[in-house]
Amino acid sequence: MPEQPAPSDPGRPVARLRFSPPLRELLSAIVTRVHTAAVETPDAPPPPGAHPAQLPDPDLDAAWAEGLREREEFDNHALLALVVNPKFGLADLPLTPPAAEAIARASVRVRLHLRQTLLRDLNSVELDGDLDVFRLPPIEQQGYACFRLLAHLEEDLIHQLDPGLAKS
Amino acid sequence: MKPSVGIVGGPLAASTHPGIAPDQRTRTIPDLAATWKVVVMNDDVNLMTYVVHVFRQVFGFETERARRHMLEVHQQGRSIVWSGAREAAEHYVHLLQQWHLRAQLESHA
Repeated sequence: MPEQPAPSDPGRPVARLRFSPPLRELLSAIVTRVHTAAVETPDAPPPPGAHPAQLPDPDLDAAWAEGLREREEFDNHALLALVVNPKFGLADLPLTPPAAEAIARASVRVRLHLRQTLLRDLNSVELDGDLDVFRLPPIEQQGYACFRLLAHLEEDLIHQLDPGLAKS
Repeated sequence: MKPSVGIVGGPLAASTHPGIAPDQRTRTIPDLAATWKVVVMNDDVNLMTYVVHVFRQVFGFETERARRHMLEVHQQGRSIVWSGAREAAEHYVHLLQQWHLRAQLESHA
């Protein structure tokens, strides 16, 4: 993990979402599960679209996959460190820019995992929020809550990292 | 990344150039010499803001250019975000995949 900046550093990204502790615990459990799965099954096939179709070289193929795994592990550690912090959701937590980017990438990874598992039966419109969440089974409600929360976290961090995006 | 290479021999080996032994001549593999496209495809998980940020980070695009490519991905299902030599194209695809975008290499036919 990159070094944490001092809380008073101006212009540094901050994890500043607010939500209840039970939601943090739920998020922590899901992120831990995805992280553990990634560590325990390093040879698991990559998600669809991860490999270019024309790679002709097994050595390059292996190096390619290893590069993705190393990046993913770094990113997952950054997100895990955030979500297990008992202050997450209750107070502003300053981050370094590399940590904020890693957290954004890892949030996407976890949301892709949720999309492929608990939320696989939802269509794209429902995934964007146009659904009655209470018609979902409880486990899917939990997955959906984490999916949306991570999307908010990701978007907030991106806007802090790249303020020009909001102006254009 | 794998560099472009030549093939020893091949069709040009039958050349009549004097003083050059056939097995010392080379030719460039056509698909490696071709222009390669970096293509990003749509998905229903990645946020528009995130995709614009990734394009800016990976390619150094100005915001408007990054946004145009993002909208092309969103509305048309895919966008060619870069084209050029294979080695660089591979590098870009790998970076985009580290950001979890659906990116792939395609060669110009």
